[in-house]
Amino acid sequence: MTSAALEGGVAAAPARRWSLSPRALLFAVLLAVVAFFVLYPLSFLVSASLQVGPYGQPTTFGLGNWISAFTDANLRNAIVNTLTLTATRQVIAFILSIGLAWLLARTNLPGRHWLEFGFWISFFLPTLPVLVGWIFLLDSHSGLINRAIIALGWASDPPFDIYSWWGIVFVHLMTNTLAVQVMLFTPAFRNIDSSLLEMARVAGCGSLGMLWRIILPVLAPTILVVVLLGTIRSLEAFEIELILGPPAKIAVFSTAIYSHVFDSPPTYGAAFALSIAGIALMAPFVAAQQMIARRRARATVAGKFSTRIADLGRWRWPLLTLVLLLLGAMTVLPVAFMLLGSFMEVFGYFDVPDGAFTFGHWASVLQDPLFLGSLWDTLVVAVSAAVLSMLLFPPIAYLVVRTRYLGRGTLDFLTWLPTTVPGIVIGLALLWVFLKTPGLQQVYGHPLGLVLAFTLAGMALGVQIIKAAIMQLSPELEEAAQAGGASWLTTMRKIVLPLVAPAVAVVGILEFVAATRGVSTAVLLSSHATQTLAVFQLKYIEAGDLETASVVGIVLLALSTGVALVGRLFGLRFGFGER
Amino acid sequence: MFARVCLWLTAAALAAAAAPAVAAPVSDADWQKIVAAAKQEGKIVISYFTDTGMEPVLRQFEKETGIKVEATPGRPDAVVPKILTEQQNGQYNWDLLLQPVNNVRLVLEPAHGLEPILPFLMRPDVDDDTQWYGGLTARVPMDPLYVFNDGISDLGVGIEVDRAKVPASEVADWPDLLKPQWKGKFGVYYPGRPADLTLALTCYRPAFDSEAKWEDYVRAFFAQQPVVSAEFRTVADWLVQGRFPVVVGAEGSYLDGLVKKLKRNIVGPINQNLCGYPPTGTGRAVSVPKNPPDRNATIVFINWYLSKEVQDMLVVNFTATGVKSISRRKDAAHPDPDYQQKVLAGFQEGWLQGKGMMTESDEGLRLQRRVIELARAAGY
Repeated sequence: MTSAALEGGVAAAPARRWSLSPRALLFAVLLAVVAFFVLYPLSFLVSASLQVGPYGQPTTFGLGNWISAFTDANLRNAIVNTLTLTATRQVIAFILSIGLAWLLARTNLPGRHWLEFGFWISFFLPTLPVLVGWIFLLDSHSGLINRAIIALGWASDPPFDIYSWWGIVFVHLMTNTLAVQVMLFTPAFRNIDSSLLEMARVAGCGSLGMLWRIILPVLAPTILVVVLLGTIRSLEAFEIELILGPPAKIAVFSTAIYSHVFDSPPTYGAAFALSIAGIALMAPFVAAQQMIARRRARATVAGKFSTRIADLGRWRWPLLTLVLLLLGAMTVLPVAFMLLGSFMEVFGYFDVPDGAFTFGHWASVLQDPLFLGSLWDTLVVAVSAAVLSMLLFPPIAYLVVRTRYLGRGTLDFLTWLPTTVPGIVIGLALLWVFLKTPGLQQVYGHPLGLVLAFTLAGMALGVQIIKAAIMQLSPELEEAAQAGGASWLTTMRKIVLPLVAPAVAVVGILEFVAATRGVSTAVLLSSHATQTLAVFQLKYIEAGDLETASVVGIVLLALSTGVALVGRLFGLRFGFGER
Repeated sequence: MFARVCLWLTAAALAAAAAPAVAAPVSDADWQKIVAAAKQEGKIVISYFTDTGMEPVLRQFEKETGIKVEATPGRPDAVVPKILTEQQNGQYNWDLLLQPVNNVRLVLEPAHGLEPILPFLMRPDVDDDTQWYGGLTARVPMDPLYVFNDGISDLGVGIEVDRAKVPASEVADWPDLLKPQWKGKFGVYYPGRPADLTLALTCYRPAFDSEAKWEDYVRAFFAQQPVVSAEFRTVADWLVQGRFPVVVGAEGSYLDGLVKKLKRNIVGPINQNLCGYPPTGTGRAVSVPKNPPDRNATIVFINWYLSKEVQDMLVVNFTATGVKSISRRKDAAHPDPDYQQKVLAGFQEGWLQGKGMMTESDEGLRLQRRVIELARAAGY
């Protein structure tokens, strides 16, 4: 590892800030494209938030929407709930995921690669059926676990109530929050050079000292990205809060936006005002993250990279049991409930006199004339979005990390913004962009429109994953290649891309999954001619037919898992950057 | 192209000729021309509410006419802003809406995004004031009429009770829910959204001689701290699984299906229908977005949809999925004649006598919004 990499962050940036090199040209084009697709929809939101009056009718400019949004009596509580819920689940997930990532990446825990894959499966699971499964188990009146505990005499009253503040925290941890942190931390742990730890040990550092002085500083950029992504996702997430929140009178920021969109008549202006406020709230955090990441970036993969595995000794099997129990709760349990639900006459009711089980839901999905078309559209959209992301995000990440062009910070910043806006709002803004922009009108209602929307929605996560992988590569690898006479393109092709290829492939898989599952963004951009399975599933969910929706959920899960499994069988380690 | 333009002009001329509020029926020869033009168009683009009962009907239309139905299921709160945004950017992609009326009326109608509906009714058996209970307009306060309500609803929303646990002497109507013993002990649908709970409370307004007294009741109702869920299915599950023996605003179709399957003694809505059985859709109400691209196919579909045979089919399909309504067509049947008679009597003695209230009317919507405001003030 170069001393520059250790002390000064990422080096090897060109001295000139702008030139007509292919790299500069590429940067300019990418900045222009990303700026157009991010800022143009946002300009619609800003403009629409200042137009006072019913949507679609003559309006006047003013602050009426902002005033009505921010004088809502319940908004203060919603903001407090959002902050406390977010902080609580992020702290719990952070502590657990650091431990889990270390176990999976740096120890001899049996079957650790497959266990890591299990967290990916958990991430792929659709939220709603999983939530219904947990309600089935933890409802304070009829939850199976509560009933079992009372039947066993361990308690006289139901000990758990999923419709509560802690219920919301728990379901978030079990669905996405913990899984995504483990997914992102594990490869970062894996890429810590063992020689750093050994040097620290020789210098007399204890375990805590190593954690404080070596591991945390090395992981700082990844930690910041993970915490920021988690916080943004928490601000945007609403499905769980929408169902578990009302019985406990818990509203959050995202459900406040949702209420405005689905109010009657809808008050879009207020929803847009809150969305912009959300962006404004997150912007300083994104900027701070960029600044800290730039200062503290540490390359860990250099010419002499080495990784050693810690021996867990007698703790090996007890720790495996704990991880298996956790993973079982996060994957096996929800999948089992989804499967069970798809064969039940009514999900959760075993006492139906005429029979509790049926194949009817499967028959109704498989015989639906829209099913096969939706399946095909899903494959087209998801594969295309994955490919586009794999082509678009690596150059963005590389240019942000490895160059010092004016505007690289802006490019990085722009990639975050779409994530901070709720899907239904960004869907409406994109709809407006597609319809307003000559040349893009043909894209509306076409699979390409959905591909663009999903690529945009997945940009923050995708770019950050590839950025993290590039930041861990020491510039000495590229310097060595260029000193040997290789051109920049050859260096990219033969050195950088092979090393970050696993990360790029992971981004492709994540994008595939996001495109198969995405509903709120897609629902406004779909048409009869182009409809993904997730939108097809929506009609069952909205009709309250969770049993049939579970059938579609299983098909979606099979698609996501299938792609991930194929990736794994072809040698892709779900710890990008693993060697 | 020329032929297509000619056909369109023919149909437009026919529609224009039928422009008065109540159109003159079209002759057989002219009807055949419209059908031919519709077949030339070859398709109709429909947005329908996410009811499984509608899908067989749409397939039947394809089968009978050879005109392809490009149907997209979806809730009006997502579809309506999409259609309006398209229209305002010069794109007219939709021919027909088979949707609940709220968002159509609140968003599309004031933005001039709908076509008057009556000119689309052309067949003699359809465009006949005497063929429909309440006539073509059914006293719907809208001029011109943009939404055709082909059915009558009994507004199957309100208080649902597990009679195995709560006898009629304990809970029989709205005032009983204010008794101290029910504080925090009944479940309701989320009052932040105009849906079953706001509808039910709005329909209780006629019981009071002033709005202030009704508001006092609504305040007292929320002061009872009912437990809310934003999932109508959960509200029904609470009742059936026994978490709460009384709920308000459980969506009828799921609850009805559940009660039938489980053979439980759950009854409701037990409260009196004070909305007077207003007109609504059998499946959903019919409206036409501005400038439908397949105008002739739209005319053919609407007249087919409002025929006796299809109204019969709709009622059977929707009754099977738990949607409670009857057709306004006088010659249409219903699988449960007693129920049909009850709803018809309510319609004729209530709504048509000016006693009821349409929850989609300006007044109904204003009261629903007031319920939402009062719920918010109570912390919901």
